[in-house]
Amino acid sequence: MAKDASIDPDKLGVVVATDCGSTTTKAIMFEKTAEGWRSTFRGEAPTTVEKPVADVTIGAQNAFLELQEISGRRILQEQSGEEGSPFVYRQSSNDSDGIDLYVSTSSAGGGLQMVVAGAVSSMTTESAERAALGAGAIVMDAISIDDGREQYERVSKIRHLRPDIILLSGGVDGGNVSLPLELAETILQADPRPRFGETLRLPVIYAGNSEIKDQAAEILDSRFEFVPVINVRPELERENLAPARDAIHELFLHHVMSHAPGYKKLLDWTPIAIEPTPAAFGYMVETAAEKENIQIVAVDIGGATTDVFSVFRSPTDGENVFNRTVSANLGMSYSVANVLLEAGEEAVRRWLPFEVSADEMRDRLRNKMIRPTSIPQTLNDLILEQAVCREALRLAFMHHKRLAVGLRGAQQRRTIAEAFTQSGQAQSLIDMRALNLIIGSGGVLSHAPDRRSTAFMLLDSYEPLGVTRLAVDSIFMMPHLGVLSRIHPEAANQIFFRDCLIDLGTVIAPDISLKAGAKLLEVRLKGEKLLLRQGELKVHPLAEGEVYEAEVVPLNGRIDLGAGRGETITAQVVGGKAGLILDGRGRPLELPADEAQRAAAVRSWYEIFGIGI
Amino acid sequence: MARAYTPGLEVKARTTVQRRRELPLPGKSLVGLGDLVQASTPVLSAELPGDLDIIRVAERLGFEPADVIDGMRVQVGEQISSGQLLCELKTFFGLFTSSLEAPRGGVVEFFTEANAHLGIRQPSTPLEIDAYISGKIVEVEEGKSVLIETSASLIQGIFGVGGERLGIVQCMDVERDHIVTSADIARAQSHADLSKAVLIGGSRFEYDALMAAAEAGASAVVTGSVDAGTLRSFVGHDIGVSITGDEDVPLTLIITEGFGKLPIAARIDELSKDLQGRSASVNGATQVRAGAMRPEIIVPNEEGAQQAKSDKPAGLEPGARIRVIRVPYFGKLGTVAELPTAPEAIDTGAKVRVLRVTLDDGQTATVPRANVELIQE
Repeated sequence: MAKDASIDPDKLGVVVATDCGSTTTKAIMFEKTAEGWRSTFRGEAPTTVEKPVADVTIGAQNAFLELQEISGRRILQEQSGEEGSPFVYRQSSNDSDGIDLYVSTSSAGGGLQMVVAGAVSSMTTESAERAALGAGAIVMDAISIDDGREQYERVSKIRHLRPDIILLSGGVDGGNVSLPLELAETILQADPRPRFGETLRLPVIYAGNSEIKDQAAEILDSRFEFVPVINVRPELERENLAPARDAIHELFLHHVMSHAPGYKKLLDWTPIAIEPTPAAFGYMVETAAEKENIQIVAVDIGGATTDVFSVFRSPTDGENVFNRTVSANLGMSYSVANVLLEAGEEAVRRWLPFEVSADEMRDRLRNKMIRPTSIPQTLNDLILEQAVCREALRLAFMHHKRLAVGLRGAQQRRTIAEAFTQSGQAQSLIDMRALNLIIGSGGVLSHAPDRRSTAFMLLDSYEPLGVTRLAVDSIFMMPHLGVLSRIHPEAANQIFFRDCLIDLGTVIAPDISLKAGAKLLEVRLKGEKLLLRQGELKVHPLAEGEVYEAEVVPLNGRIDLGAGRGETITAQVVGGKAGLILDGRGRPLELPADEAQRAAAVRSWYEIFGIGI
Repeated sequence: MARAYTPGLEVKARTTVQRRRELPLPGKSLVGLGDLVQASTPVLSAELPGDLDIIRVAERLGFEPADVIDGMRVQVGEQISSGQLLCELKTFFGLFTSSLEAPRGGVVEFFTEANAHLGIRQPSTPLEIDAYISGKIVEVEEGKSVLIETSASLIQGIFGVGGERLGIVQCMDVERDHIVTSADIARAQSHADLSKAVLIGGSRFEYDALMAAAEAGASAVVTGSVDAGTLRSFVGHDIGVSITGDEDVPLTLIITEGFGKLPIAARIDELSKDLQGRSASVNGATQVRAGAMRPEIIVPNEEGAQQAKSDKPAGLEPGARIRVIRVPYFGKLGTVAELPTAPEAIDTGAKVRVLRVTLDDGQTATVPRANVELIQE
């Protein structure tokens, strides 16, 4: 399909999609077969943003070459010039070579780095910070009039940072005038340079007192790209983060991601916009939640960042609420050493069934950080990475719970008392008892050599409550399907349920901890009665494709499986690679304090899952 | 991943090196096409905007902001001098006059009526950017950047901290697997002046050795590895994300092999001996993410520039020299013996594309292709 041709979904038969990640470029071929649309082949290559091949399209072409080699279908021209599409396009649906369409997502370009500013640290600065964090930024500094620093210190700090975007808040609408303007003056005094491009004007999003928007513009407009949006704190007791978050996303796409080397050339190869990886991923999560009428948490753990997506029903109006957060420095390669720093060495070490010195652990993970495309070759190395993964997932989910607080497009209300004390954070929408499905994605989860270990990682990191189904994105395909669905939603849906999601099984877990050995619950399934006691972890065989109704009876009146304390529930349990997992280890999950006991417990859990170590 | 290997770090006795020097904001070029420059030669300059003085006019005069607007005597864009009248207010039917004068000269950048704050921009300060490497100017983007080319020896490290430094190559007279101590620095200092030295050698430097080298005035240390504890002590904090170069450290530290205790590569050790006493340009900045950069030691050749060679790396093929970058063969060098097409199972249970390598110690090993890097020689 030529670049300028209009796209008729019915005429599509072979589509190649890539995701240019920060570490690896993944190419997938989708084909229309006799049984409908399927994902057929996959190729990958390191993303090439590093000299001497600092051009994202080189990595993409390497991935296409592998796809061509594995599929046997000629998709690349013998000689493609520097410019123009490298693809062979099919002239008719009978052609055995060529493709009809190429689409792509991209997350190359590194993280988003921001400075936020607000009048009062516990009020507008906090709101601005929430908006920036929610949009996936690393907040390099949060400036406020009451931050205890002298003016020259603030100026000096901002000047030395090279943020991608500044978010300026301050004052409710019709409220304080001088403080937001003073902050604008501080930014002007500091005059920071953007991280990319010497001719680029650093964007400053103004989300403060709307009545002085024009005056803030007068101060900043000459040197910055001034982007006014609705106030993040229009009233003292009301927070409205969505407009600022949207502006951040928009600016991120145009000011950060598009600076990845070769990105402009890649744009020329596809007739539709290259979508940011998380946007495409999120679109698939939202679609699946709607189609299946379920509540979902999905995670994409990458090399640099971990994205968490959720769809939960609003407790107020029952509408689905989609939320996404990005934990910008929690990842499995570039940021792997930062997971160790944020979680703490002991937190990572607790998941290891073997001894490893602190130095050895630090050095191994830093070697992964500087050689991000390498993969574990030994079991111990794999288990260490999976231990780090558990902590990255756990921390990113905590971040998500803290920020997934509002209705999309609606405004988050807090009481005045909460606004003053800041003691009551807005209530998280994440209701673990109501959660139906957890989807894991990203290399460490999708490519785990044994899929049971993926179930084990998700179980430890998310500590599900009640009855929760676990699945994994088979080969990190959700972004590809998200972007495909923009053109051919039916094809994307077919592939999503046929080839993308792999069921890992279902977890049943009570929400409390009792005395060791105490009876927790009984699961009645297929005429069998499965008893779970405190401290036990059980994995009951339940193969992929098996779906049953199970009755789950709490054996302690304090246990709430989602229907109220002590109430029996009937729920669908779905089989999978791991099976039916009964987790009686307690909530919150606490590992034995004694080192030998802890290692023995972790080892026994691996054995229960049937994972050889 | 057919091409799933890390592009090799370059260690070349002679290659053509180009480095672009760019201004952070528009300015002017100080050199022309074809000029020969030294590393310390200024090649670009710009005027950095001066500081912004903010005069709180209403507050200074003791009036409400709205009351001073009519009394303002300067306008946005106006060049003013020190002592110039900024605002004059007459009260009590003109009996009393309140006035405010400029404490320093500058250009009026803004006046905000809401709070009566006046911004005066100070004169700009000059910024000069040096060539960083000695060589020939081969491209000039007027007012923005210049490209300098030189024939040089190039050593790329895997990770570094600290920014650009200039110095003189000084080989540490130690075995490649030696852990350099402060006593080694003292010994080296007794033989040579370590001021501005770029010390190369050993498997790693102890923290005391790094500090002794800094004390002796060394510009940089290039060694095989560093352990996390020493790095934390040296930098003052843990490094969690591989973006470096701005650390406030007394010398630039570059490691060539990785974290732990790894001998500096033989070819780097040998090359550095050939470069003893030569001027080097060193940069520890590392960025593994997009827009990636690796730390580098550039030693321009004395006999002048050569024809540029292609920077395109050689492919992974039988006979290619590689280094394994992951346990259990981490750090070992070898020669590719075979590249099986079909994925094979490894110890973790994963099925991945592998290669067979004959390691330099005679062992034959199977390793994932993702776990090797080409040695660019």
